[in-house]
Amino acid sequence: MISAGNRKFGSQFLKGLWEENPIFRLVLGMCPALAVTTSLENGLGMGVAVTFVLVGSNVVIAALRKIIPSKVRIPCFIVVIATLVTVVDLLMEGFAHDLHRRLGIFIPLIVVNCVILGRAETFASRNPVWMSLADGLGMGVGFTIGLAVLGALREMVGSGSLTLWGDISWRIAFYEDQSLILLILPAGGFVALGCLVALINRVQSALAQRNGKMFVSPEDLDCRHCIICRWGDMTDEQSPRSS
Amino acid sequence: MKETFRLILALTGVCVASGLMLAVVRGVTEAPINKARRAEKLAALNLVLPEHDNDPYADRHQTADGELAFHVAGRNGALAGVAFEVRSHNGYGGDVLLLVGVTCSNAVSGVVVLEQSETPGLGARIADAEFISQFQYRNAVETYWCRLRQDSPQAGEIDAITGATISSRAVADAVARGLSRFSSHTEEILRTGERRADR
Repeated sequence: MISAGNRKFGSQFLKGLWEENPIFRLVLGMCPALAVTTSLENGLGMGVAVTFVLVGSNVVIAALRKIIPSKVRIPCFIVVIATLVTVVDLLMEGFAHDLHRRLGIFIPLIVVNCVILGRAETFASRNPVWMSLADGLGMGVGFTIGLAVLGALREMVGSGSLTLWGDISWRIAFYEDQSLILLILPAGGFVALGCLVALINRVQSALAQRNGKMFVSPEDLDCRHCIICRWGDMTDEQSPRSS
Repeated sequence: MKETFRLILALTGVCVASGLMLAVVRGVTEAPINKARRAEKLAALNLVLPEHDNDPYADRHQTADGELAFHVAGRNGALAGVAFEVRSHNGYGGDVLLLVGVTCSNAVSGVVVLEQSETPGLGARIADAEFISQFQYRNAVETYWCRLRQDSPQAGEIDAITGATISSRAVADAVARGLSRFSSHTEEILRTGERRADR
């Protein structure tokens, strides 16, 4: 009984890391993901802050899910999330002042990060506290890994270095002067994210092929759900050219 | 009616709990936040001020017309220098906030960038020593030098950063503006320094 529960907890946790990774698979919370990931350190810091809020809000909302009437659930969720974000903001300013300055406005903006409200609405408000904790932790760690990978890639290519809390740091000498600044500019965020998502899709399709299955990428990541394409197909069939 | 009451109760309950929690966290973090802010400012002040034996962070004064707020560095009871903030709205990516230090012999003792949001790798290099140290040891009263070489070929002595003229110009103009504000209040600042010594 206990081991079955643990396995369920584990699978809820693990799905956030790869299968439903918020950055690469769900493509949620893109505003902080693209804006702050100019370095590995910023990405990690942002990820940790989001994880804290996500775990806290998931647990509180799951615990209150039977008390809160469904008509006012969204305002209640927002109050809970905003409180936790303010707590993180104050704690970071006091104990990680330097990081707090670099992340700046994006810490208060965690309130509107759709990963958090999304998990509250789709998961925590329908599942027990224990499962919500696993979900929040998995999504949070998955988000952190996503931001860290994105940040490391952009920092390595964009400024030719990799810094981790000032102590462990090394520079790639080749890039010393001629680094690709584009990657640390806002536009570079989109470029880097696009490349990473493409790479992950490739890996997944290779894995699926080896297991003899067909790979279907998540619907958000291609144009299947987009009405313009379907409309285009339709008019093609009806146009005199195709007949 | 009963339904409405339930909704009000739930929202009020959540908000009260949230308020209590925030009050507790604020109480815990207030002291560390103030300490961190102070340490940050003090580090910047120590960079731009000449040698001193007082606490320039606490030694903050304002001119009578409220135009210039400055931190005083004292040494052996006498005035050693002052530091003041200047903000420029002409940065490429937003405001640039500078801290300028001046010695009592009217020389610039240092400039540091406190806040900037310029382009990484280009404009953000205004914070690098290579650019910002150009202002050091220069005359703080006669500020003809405080312009970009390309803007004023005869007088300007500040080399702009390649590809970041706007950011460089914002810094040079802001420093010049700060220095002219300083020189129009020199007497008052000196008086403040003397008053400190009497105390």
